[in-house]
Amino acid sequence: MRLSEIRQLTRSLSTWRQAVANGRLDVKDFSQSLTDYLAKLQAKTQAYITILPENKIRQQIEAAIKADKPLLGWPVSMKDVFITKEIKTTAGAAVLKDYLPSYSSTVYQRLVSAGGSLVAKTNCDAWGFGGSTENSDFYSSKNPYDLERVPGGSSGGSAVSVASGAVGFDIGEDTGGSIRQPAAFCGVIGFKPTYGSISRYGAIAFSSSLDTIGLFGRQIEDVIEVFNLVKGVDGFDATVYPSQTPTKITSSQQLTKIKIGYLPELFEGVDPQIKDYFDKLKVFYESELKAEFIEIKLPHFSYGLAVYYILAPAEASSNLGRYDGVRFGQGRQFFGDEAIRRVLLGTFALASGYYDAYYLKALKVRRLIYQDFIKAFNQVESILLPVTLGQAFKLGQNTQDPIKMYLEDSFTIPISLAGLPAISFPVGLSDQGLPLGLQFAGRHFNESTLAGLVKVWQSFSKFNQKYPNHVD
Amino acid sequence: MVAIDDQLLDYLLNLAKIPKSKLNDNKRKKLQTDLSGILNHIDRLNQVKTDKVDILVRPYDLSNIGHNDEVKPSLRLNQYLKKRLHKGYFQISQLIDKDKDETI
Repeated sequence: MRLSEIRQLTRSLSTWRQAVANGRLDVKDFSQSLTDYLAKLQAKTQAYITILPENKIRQQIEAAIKADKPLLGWPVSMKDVFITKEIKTTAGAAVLKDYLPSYSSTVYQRLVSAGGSLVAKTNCDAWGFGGSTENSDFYSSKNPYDLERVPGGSSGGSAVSVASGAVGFDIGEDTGGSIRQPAAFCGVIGFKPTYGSISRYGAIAFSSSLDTIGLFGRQIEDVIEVFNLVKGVDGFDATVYPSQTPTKITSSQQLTKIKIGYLPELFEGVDPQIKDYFDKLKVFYESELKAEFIEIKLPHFSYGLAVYYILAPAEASSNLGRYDGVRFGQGRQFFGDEAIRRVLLGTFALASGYYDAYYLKALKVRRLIYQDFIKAFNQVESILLPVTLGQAFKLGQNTQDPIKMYLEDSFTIPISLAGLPAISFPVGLSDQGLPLGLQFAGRHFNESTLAGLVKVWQSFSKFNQKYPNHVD
Repeated sequence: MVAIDDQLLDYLLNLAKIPKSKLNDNKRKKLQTDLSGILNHIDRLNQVKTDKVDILVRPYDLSNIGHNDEVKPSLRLNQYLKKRLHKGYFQISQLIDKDKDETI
């Protein structure tokens, strides 16, 4: 089977279903070809930590088709932070390099129940600490649009996996932008639902008040369909919001005259090409939906980064306390440089004498950021804002300067602090041929509106049909 | 502004149970510079007045999850900590009477 045929099958759930229904899917041929492609992709991009053997991939697809499960064995990859029984789970960390879990996470169990076929587990910054995969304790992944550049992070391997067309979708996790930023760098959809949508039972914890499981996908309809299959209460995660209803994509008719907020100051200091795409989209939505763009104020938005780099390390230092070398894998002497930095930063913020001035102060400013958003959503239904400062940066460019690396998350973090849903989506390529993205953020549990807005642009721009050249 | 001096760094390493031997002089110095730089950036929060603001720990309140106290099948001993099992006991690295600097 040729790569174009693999991509045809992973491009959308509907093409996969048609192929199964018509009897056109030769499962053996597909799983062999996919295994070959995964190996080739790994050699070029190092997107994966574990690739499942061909017979396991084939068996999953055959079983799902036989049982007529909703996803009919559609191939999926998962960030390696989700516990998978008897399948190595590392969180990109040397401490867990040989860890074989004895149970499975809820999100993986639901995926299997829905008939998804796990084909690989993807590389990420160790414990989710980073924005480029360069903090993975194993190796850095590479951007499929330019192999000398990062794919973003922390869920970088996941973005590569979807962008290259090896899988239909990927389950990732977004704490401060770990889905949205790599999605923007690799030209795919990065979906971060409202905090508390999907159970994190069995997800290796980084920052408990921020960690949000989400999805990478090629087209928004599939992302929402899978979201509906995996979200909701499981009885094992107290942060899952109890009364969630299925998410439907809001139609373009219902979106007519929608009010979209924007913050002009956010585009100062970012690559001007991102501003150009924003202007293009503004004109597009004004003409397509008669949308009204309204300038809004979020006075505490710029403090998000400082708040995050107290709260997330503080929670991480607590969550990583369990890695004592006894219960899970190897000892703490195997922590990488970034893990040490964050654990010490968090330990500092929680230490007696600094707790009030740092940790409590950050929690108070977090409320102000949250309130700003709530106030803004009285005025508008969605906010359109940048995801990144520019196109994917070069490998090694920011590794010696942690603050420079942290600043890359300036536009994604405040949304995470408020627990809001957001979708990052491709808007076009830079003059160097690299993907650029923007994101819509919305009210809590209003993923429908955001998905509707992305769908209108997807139908026009056909971004779901684009593939990188370097991984053929 | 708080600077991470040698004494504070040792205190934090001790609290976080990260072996000091992991860090050579260069790494220590780099870590001190990085942490001080990050704290310097964080100090901008002092520009925000928060006297009358309540903390926000998470975006919404939680409800506790309870389970009935029922006996259910659980994992067998050999399914736990497979690699650490030795003649029915858990085998771990030596913790007592080891060079203090190595353990904390």
